[in-house]
Amino acid sequence: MDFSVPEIPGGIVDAHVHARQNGAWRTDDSVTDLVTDARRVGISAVLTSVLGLRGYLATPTEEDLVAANSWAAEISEAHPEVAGVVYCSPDHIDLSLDLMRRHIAEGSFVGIKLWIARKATDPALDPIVDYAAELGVPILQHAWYKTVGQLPGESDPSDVAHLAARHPDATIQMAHLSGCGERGVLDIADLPNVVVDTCGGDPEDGMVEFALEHLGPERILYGSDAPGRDFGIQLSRVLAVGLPGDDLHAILAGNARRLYTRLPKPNLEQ
Amino acid sequence: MYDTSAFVGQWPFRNLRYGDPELLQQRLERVGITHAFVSPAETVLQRSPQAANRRWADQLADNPWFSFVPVVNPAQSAAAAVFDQTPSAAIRLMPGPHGYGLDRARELIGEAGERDIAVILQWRMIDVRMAHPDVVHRELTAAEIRGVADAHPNTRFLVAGARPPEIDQVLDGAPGNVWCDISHAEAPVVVRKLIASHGVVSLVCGTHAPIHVPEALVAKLAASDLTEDELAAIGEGNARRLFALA
Repeated sequence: MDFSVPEIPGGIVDAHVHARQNGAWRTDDSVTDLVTDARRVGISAVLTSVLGLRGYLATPTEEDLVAANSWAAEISEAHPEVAGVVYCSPDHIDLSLDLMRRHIAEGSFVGIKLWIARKATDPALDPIVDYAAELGVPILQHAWYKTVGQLPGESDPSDVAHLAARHPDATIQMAHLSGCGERGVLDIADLPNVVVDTCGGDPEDGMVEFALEHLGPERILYGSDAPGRDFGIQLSRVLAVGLPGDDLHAILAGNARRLYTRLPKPNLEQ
Repeated sequence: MYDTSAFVGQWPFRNLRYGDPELLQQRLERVGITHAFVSPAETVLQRSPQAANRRWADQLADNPWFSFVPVVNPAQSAAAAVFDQTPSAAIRLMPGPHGYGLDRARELIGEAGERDIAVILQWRMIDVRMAHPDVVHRELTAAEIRGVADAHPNTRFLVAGARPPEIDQVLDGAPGNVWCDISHAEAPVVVRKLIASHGVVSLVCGTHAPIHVPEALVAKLAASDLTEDELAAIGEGNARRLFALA
């Protein structure tokens, strides 16, 4: 069975990945498996935040954050395909700022991740977002319109719109196109500093097309949410659109490389 | 390759671009599907699916590329009439959307077995997190599926729309009359993992198209590096046994 992926010069960039220490599926090393599976479908860079060493931690302690980001640094050093994204928490502002300084200003990480400790409307996020804007790195902000199970600190797209309006100089990657849905796309349509990534739940038909219509191809980034999801299945929802070459390249690589300016330049001879 | 779990018609919650049979066929053929078993999507919110069944059965009667699978609500007194009205290899039950427990369907399930007709049990139609707030449907459980499968050994069951952990629960030690589709299975090398746990004989292809993109099926099969024999089994052979096709 052949899953054909068009060749993208320099390779595809997956803008939404969460490496984890356990749960390897091909070898005994989950990061090796992650990189192997990415490579198999033409992905050359995986933008990876680590949400905890003891599973995904919604409200990590300071020790959890330090350990998660230290391990992210280890794996990004060991695997050139892995680009680190700092997991920050507005519950620990000073530490988050320190981690950003350590891993971005003085390190090789390319962005930050804000998950579900607090909603994006919470002013506690502001110092972190301000510093991200100062560093010139995007913020991957979790978002989802859940009918059931929305957690107290879990942002929906209207919360992301609030954050983006407070910080027009920050670049915000709103996570989970399918989870945000059509309503979520419309929430951020008028905010040019917000882009959306393509993952979030099942590969529903029509969602990428809706985002294209209302945001344009330059505001959509391929993201998989692997390994909770699968690189290829999440890629299929973009490929299924049948986009012209320039738009496909933008979504699969160009937009991420434009926004994540600290990503190493691709090797175009690969 | 057979698609055991696809739909035609209108989906009440958003526009489907490929609900029309001709467009759906073209779309599925692009990913290597050669035959699809389809039910009317609009019945998800119709407690009386008979009218939609009749309309779609008529419309698809002359198209051998599709096998029409009527949706049946066993809570209705005339539900068993479907067996005489619509010749089909299977019926589909949507216990969540139609609001009944599988115990309510035992008579219908028994008759399906007697008539050599498979029963498709739809675990979910949509991720409940994304459901319309007024329409949050109950999902099936492995225990109730195993209950009816054990009680009706002469009926063949396809569980559609289950996630990998749910497939594991259904198939772990299951009798030989239960199959699962992989339409909602997503994880790295997910098909390989399911084969490793349960063997290849109980798995069949499903796309959940046109609600999901059918290209996802190709991606998940490719990621698992199936042998030709495994692909032949999951792609067609198992479905032929499930639906008792010649």
